[in-house]
Amino acid sequence: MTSELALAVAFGLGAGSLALALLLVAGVAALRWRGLRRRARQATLALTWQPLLALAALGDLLPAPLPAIAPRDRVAWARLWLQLQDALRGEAHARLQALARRVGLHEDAQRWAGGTGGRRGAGRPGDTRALGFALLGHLHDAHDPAGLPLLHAGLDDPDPDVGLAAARALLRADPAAHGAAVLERFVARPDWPLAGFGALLRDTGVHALAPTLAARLSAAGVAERRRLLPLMRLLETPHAQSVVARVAHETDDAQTLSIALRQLHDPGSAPRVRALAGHADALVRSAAAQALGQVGQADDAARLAALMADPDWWVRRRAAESLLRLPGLDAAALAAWQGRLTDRYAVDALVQAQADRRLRLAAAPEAGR
Amino acid sequence: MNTLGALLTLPAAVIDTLWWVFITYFVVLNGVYLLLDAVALRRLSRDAARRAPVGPAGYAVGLEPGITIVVPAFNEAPTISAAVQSMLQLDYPDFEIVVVNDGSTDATLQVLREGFALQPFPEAYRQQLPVQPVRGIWRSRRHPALRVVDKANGGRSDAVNAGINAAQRALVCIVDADSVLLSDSLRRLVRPFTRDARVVAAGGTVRVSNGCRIAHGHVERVEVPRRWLARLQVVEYLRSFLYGRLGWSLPNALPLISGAFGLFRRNELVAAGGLSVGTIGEDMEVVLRLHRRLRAAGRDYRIAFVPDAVCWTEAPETRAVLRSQRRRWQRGLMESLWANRALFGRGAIGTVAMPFLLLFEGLGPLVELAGYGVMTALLASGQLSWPGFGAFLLMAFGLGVLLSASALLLEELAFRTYPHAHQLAPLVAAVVVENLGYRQLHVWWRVTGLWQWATRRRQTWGTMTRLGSTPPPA
Repeated sequence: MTSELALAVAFGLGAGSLALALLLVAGVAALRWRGLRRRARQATLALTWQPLLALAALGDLLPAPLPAIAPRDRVAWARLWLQLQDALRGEAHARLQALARRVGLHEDAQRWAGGTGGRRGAGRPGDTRALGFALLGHLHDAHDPAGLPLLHAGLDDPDPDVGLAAARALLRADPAAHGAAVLERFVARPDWPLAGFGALLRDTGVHALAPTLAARLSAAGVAERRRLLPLMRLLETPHAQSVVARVAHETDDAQTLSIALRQLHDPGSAPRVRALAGHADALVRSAAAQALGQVGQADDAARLAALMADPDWWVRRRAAESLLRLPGLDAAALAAWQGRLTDRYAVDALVQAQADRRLRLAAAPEAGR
Repeated sequence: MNTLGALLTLPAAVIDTLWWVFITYFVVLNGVYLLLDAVALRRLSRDAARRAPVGPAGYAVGLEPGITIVVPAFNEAPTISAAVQSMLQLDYPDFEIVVVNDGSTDATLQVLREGFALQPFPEAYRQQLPVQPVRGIWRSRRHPALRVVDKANGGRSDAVNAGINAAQRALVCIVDADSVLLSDSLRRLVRPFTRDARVVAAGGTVRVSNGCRIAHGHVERVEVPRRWLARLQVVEYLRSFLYGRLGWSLPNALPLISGAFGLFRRNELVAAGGLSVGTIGEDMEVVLRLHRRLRAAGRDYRIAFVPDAVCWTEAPETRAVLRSQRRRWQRGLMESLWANRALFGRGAIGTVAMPFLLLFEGLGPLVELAGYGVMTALLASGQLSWPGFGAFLLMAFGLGVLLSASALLLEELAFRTYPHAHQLAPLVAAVVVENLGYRQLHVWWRVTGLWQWATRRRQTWGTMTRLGSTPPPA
């Protein structure tokens, strides 16, 4: 027969587990009830304040006194305010700033950015830190530098979303003053996503940062250039092109070269691009083939035809696409080149590129249906 | 003691040992899952910030990593059009879709041709992975990012490999033809790749779409399934994904990315040889193979899990189809572990995850079935009292309910996918009902799947009966 101990253990495990499960289910029910109440409260808050925020932005008279904002609703209120403020510029932006100061949002923002307070109804500390930084970016002015140390400290937050929120706030406040520090953090933080940082630059005015970015790129080492160079794509200015072209001339690093080549469209870069078309690394050859379509001339057709027989699929593909883009190459000339091709992979690549171009041209009016 | 008892008499020490074996099995099995649960809870709490974006969303800047969505399709005529339509509307700035028609015998290709204005395209197809003959490639006039690879039938793995060959982006997202992605699913699943260059693969969460209102490839309303079989699978999937996979991913020991929704670096898949056509559990096998290859090469790599990157899929609603699926999964588990047995003992994946999977998920159903069988035989032979038998059942039942209840708590804390008050009660009921017969039936199916693996019986994917998404009650 089974020992008493074994039976007792089994019974205890079973009963204890069921009791704990019951507690957990009660917890689920409590969380659900709390969540429903919170959403109802937030809906009421939005119903009350969205019209008032709109009036404030327009400069209309607001009721006095303003409706009270309960401590547990301040985070939700701050999000409402932020959602509208992100979309505004100019005087409307300034009017909402004034309203925020009137209700004490600035103090909240500093407290949240500092990582203290705001737990009740706010979610997790990471939520409120990022929110605090976002608010400070809008509320900061030259007379109130208290938020700046917090924002700079926020750049080093281990959570990349919080760090990026701090970066966005600093650039929104003063890109010229804080751009260098933000760029340094971007270089040092591989966990800051390139596209996310790029979107941040574009939203906060990347052109104000252009001189800083160009200077930093010029002084950068290999790894840093790989990190910063893709951002030049956002600038689309002649100066940016000259910076990228200079990098392409100076570096031997294959990855940096391929990034730079993909951004070149200044015909002055053509000699360097041609020289790189025979590079040992397929990544560079592929980028050079692509660049020739931007900067090349009709007499680059022979070079591209040779690249269409390259062992690497992408080199062949890019070369074929670029051949179709060369200026001064009409249909007859293209047909002549196609007739001269002896390598079957080259022929396949060109046939595909032609079909691709026809399809894209045909898809443009069809997509509008 | 009765006649049966006279025939089956076991020494008391043996009975006692058996008791302790079964107790230990249940405690260790559920203890590990509860530990994974605690780990997942901590991680989900920390990541909650990412689900409450602050500030404007970052729109396309041309710096996002490109993604090829590979969709293997075999006889998917009823649903393929809606699936592709929904994928075309994904909110991601750079992606293409490659549907692989794997020798369908129905009108799958015709539906695609007519629905998306496909025309033959002279693509220079790169055959980096060996596949069954490709008959042709089609491209949409209306949606240049959509291509269809038409090939001879070779099975799901072969079809995915054909899609990998055709992929022209650095990342490959493998989805099932009946997967319904949310508009931000790709955006969320790609996050680990943009923050950590070591990441080679990432899996998302699969949820049960039965009962949901899905129109034009979009989930318009989330509902708990009305049928109990699907409802029980909701709870199962919560357990499996919310802390099973999340927990394992944290020590870089994730053994499986669901075939319904996973994202991989294309070059890593090609270097590893693509998906294996020789196994029925190709989704687990390829992940274990990635672990094995990268560990052997001394690479610093990560295989991630993104809990809030969601894909909805239809779960079986008939016992026959569910049975076939679970047998297939069990066989796939054993095949994958066997094929990658060289990984045992290496890293967290080989020293913790794989031994756990082998002992508790692979062979565990045998122990559990033996437990029920032995206890019932002892009861019938008079060697076990009714209170003793009850204690055993209570232990099995209680621990199972606890695990499922903790998954429900995680779901409520982190996602609240079923936000309406009336949806909570059926889920709570499912937590209990799951352990009153369903789990035991599941154990039996898994044992038969284990038997099929052991006897090398050939098994195919079988046919999934598509019911479509039933509308929620008014």
